[in-house]
Amino acid sequence: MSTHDLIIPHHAPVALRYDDDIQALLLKAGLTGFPYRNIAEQEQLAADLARWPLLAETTLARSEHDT
Amino acid sequence: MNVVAMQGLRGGTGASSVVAGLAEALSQAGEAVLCIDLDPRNLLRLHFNHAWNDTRGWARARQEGGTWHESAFVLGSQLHFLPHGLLDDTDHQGCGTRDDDLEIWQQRLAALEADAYRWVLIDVPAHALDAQRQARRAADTWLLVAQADPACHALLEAHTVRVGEYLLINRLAARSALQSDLHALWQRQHGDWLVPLSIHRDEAMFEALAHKRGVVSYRPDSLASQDIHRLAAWLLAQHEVSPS
Repeated sequence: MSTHDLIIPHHAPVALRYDDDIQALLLKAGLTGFPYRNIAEQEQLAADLARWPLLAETTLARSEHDT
Repeated sequence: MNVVAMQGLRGGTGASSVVAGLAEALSQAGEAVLCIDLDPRNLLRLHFNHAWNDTRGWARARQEGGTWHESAFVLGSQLHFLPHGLLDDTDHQGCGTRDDDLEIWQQRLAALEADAYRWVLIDVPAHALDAQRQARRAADTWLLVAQADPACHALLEAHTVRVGEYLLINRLAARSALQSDLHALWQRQHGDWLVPLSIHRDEAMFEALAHKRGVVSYRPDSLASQDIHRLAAWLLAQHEVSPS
């Protein structure tokens, strides 16, 4: 890929997150209200938080603040 | 004219190095860029091969009764940069009330010719609240530069996101377990304002400053340089600039 290719965008920016394929599929299928939960991502996050007490504490505080 | 301010979430995140590299990347893409340093430590200039003993800059010029833009330096046809300039303690005390105006940079940039620059990049110091408030009034895009580390994570928890503000991860080390986990957590918690690319940790970034250059001109083939080109492309797409 040349630098020119990197600099000059070929397509208009899209609103979807660049890595969220499931959400993109749901949107294309018109299922925007579908209560999809990414269990693998949630399990990975739980494992990540178990390794780092500070991250676990701030995430807990955030969830308590949101509820 | 698009005005992009970049500020480190804390000191030492490498925000100035990203500003310098981004200025080079945008100018290489054919965009006219003005790069301004609001940090009184006056270090951004060193990325642009500015002489160590040269004390000129916009703040110095204002102190000596000159105009703010008279100390702009030309780096090729597309890139101009304006150092802060060196002030001693006495100069700081007498800096004058005009420059304390919250609207001052908004007014200064509005006074520039409309087509003189497509991009104005402002390097905002992490801990100078007055400079931050002034830059907020002038900037339409605010890039908050953070490293994926616990200190930045704690600071982000207390941070209030404003309109036009984005979080940019710098010095990302993919092999670090902690950084990898923090990156995943930030994608989840800050996904709505996280820039969809990160700048990876790259020794070339540090070497570039030692060579008094931005990383894009110093090592165009480096990972950090390619990341910064992607950042430039993202900004161009955000502002829907047609190729020039």
